[in-house]
Amino acid sequence: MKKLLVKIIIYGFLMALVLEILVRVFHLYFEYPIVTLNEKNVVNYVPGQSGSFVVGNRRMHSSYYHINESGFNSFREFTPSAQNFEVALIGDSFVEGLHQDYNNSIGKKIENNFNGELAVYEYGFSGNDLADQLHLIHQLKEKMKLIDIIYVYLKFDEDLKRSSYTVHTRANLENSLAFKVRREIKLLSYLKGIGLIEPLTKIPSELKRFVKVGLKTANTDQTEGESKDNEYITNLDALLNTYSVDKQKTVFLIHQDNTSQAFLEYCEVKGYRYVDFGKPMEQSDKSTIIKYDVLKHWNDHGRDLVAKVISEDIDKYMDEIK
Amino acid sequence: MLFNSLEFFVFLPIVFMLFWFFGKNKPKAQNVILLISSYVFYGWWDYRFLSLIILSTLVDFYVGKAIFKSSVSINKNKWLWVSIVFNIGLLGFFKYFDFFVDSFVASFSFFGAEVTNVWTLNIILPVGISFYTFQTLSYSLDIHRGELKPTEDFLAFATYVSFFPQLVAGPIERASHLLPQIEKVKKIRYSQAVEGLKLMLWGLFKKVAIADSLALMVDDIFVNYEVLPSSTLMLGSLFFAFQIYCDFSGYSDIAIGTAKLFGVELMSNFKFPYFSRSIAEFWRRWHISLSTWFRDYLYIPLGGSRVNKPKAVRNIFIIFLVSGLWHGANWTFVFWGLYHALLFLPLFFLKINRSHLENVDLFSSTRNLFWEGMQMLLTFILVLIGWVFFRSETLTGSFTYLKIMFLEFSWGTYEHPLGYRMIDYFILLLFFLIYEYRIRKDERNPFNFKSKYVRFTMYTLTVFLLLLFYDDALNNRSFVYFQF
Repeated sequence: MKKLLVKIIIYGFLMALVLEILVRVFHLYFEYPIVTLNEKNVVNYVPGQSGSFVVGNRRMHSSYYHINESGFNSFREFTPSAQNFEVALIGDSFVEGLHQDYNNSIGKKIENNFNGELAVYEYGFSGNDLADQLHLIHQLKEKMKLIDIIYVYLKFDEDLKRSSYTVHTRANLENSLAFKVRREIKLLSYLKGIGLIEPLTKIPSELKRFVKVGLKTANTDQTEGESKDNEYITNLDALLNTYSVDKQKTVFLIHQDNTSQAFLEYCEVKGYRYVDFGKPMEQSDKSTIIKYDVLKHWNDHGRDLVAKVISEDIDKYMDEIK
Repeated sequence: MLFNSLEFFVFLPIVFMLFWFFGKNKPKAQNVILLISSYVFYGWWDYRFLSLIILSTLVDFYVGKAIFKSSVSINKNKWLWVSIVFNIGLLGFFKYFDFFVDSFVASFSFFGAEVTNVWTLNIILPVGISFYTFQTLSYSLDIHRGELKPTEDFLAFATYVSFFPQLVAGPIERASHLLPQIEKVKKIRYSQAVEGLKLMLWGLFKKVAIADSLALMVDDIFVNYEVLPSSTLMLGSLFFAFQIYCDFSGYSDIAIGTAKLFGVELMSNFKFPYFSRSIAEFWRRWHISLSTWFRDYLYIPLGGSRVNKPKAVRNIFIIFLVSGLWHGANWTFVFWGLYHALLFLPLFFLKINRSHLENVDLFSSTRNLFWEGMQMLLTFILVLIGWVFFRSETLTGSFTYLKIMFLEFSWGTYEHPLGYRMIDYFILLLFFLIYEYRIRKDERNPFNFKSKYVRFTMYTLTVFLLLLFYDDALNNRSFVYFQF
């Protein structure tokens, strides 16, 4: 028994070592740039980083990123002024765009649609929800004042789970030992990237389920859906009361498929604007998501469609303010 | 709980440690731990169906005793029928009830009569029911034939029925082989445990890297077969051949390997069936525990081949048709059985069904390379055609599939449903085939290299490939044979 356990440990260690080398040699690991809490109390990346972001077990997709001086992945620096027309895109990883070449982002596509007559600033950060996004707008209010129109990407079913802002956990995690270890051991980054670590974290809840054997019926699911809608709308209301936004120039960017009717009604009543990119995505006969990507981020064609929807809305807005 | 889930990789070390820590030299404690673990393993999927296993255990434990105690043949038979009716009834109720009702309605419709208001159950099929009912049934059958004495140890018997490594998808063990191992004290042997770990690694590789990654393409092709070119349908059939083999033999390897960790030896279930030179040889190498079960408890009692020709032919048809039906309540499986019976018959008439008892060795001579290579290729193609019936949803669907494949030939490239590189899978399959050929003489020792450095390299390479082809989107994909 002792011999068996000792051998398993030795073989396991040696195999992990060889796998670590292989993962490094073929650059299979996926890794985010280093995160920081900046002087404006906003969580973003340490400026000046660049590298490649890998997706898929066999490095099936990789793209270059560049973190600008403001700490966001972008092809440009963010220098808003009163003279120029500027657009801000605020959102999570879909706006951050580590899965795409930073020179071919949604912002770049919008600028191209207007032949460079405007500038687009992409304030995207993976995992950001509405609380993070509104906090960011609030903290950068001086810059936001100069920006002409702000698009806030909102996934109703994911981004409204809390009613107030607390510092993004990633900022704290980044300094934790576990995070540092994961950054140094590329095999761990790789295992996390291919989705092997997550099921481990679910085991305790599975165990609880097994012990309790609480089976939910379809009816309770429906009731749960309705109460979730109410909860999210309450959170939305609380957040917008805390961080008031300029209703004239702030637009929620949504996909109607994952947005509740309750949200649309809320916007109607309170006078908030929204723009939906769901329809063109659904009508597209080409795929709009990146292959191999578990989180289904938009591919080049998907970003084209989103950029087109935003561009059309900007056009309308420009006409309105003329 | 699935072998390819992370829950299992937490569950197994815990059970292993408990078993050897608290059960050392104590067979009762060992069996208590194994029984509880087996029920947790099964209950993780659906605890309600544990009652069926417990019921099946109780019935056959007492029926076995009653058969043994009965001095009169007629009473022995009566008790045996209790076991048969109970086990087959259980299987019939959960697995075949709707099938027979639907077939009954369809046959009436065929003759123009409309049958309405038919009562079907739409009940979930309890995982592994086809496996454990056959296992308990063999216990009563062996006692009835005087080949086995019933056990007095209920705990050991319950552990034998529910032994978690082979509970849900076999190998279907005989009581005469497994029960004595369960009854006696199990001792850990280093070499046995290492063999077990190697088999588990190899089985996991087959399941996760090959079967699961091919499954997505197979599903896509078999759903859209009507609009795909014949070259793609051929690819679908080829991929399914590897999917089902790697899925099921992978499961068996993990089962045998896991049992070894507890000092138990299970029978081999697969012996490289795609290197067979005839259909008869294929059936000696494919799902061996089921083939031998039907041989011993159905074919031989019917007279086997030692009866006149018409009866022998009847017996061949019965065993293949029943074997087909065992796989699922669908006419596609019955036809699959019939197809194999038709392929087997010529070999039987030519009296060459017992040839090729030794392993194939293509490179021993030029004659072997050409002649046996051709036999292997022909057998493989025939098996591929059979898999179309096995995988199709309906019988008409399978005929349409074959019609497009052979009679309406058209060529076209196939793209992975998620856009993955196809070349990766071809390379993987090529290396897999070459490696399987290399290890073909011993299915229980997939890493049979003398040098420990080569062995270590192969372990690492296997894990590396496993990671490269692991697909999070298909996480915890169930085993194909769970549905049977």
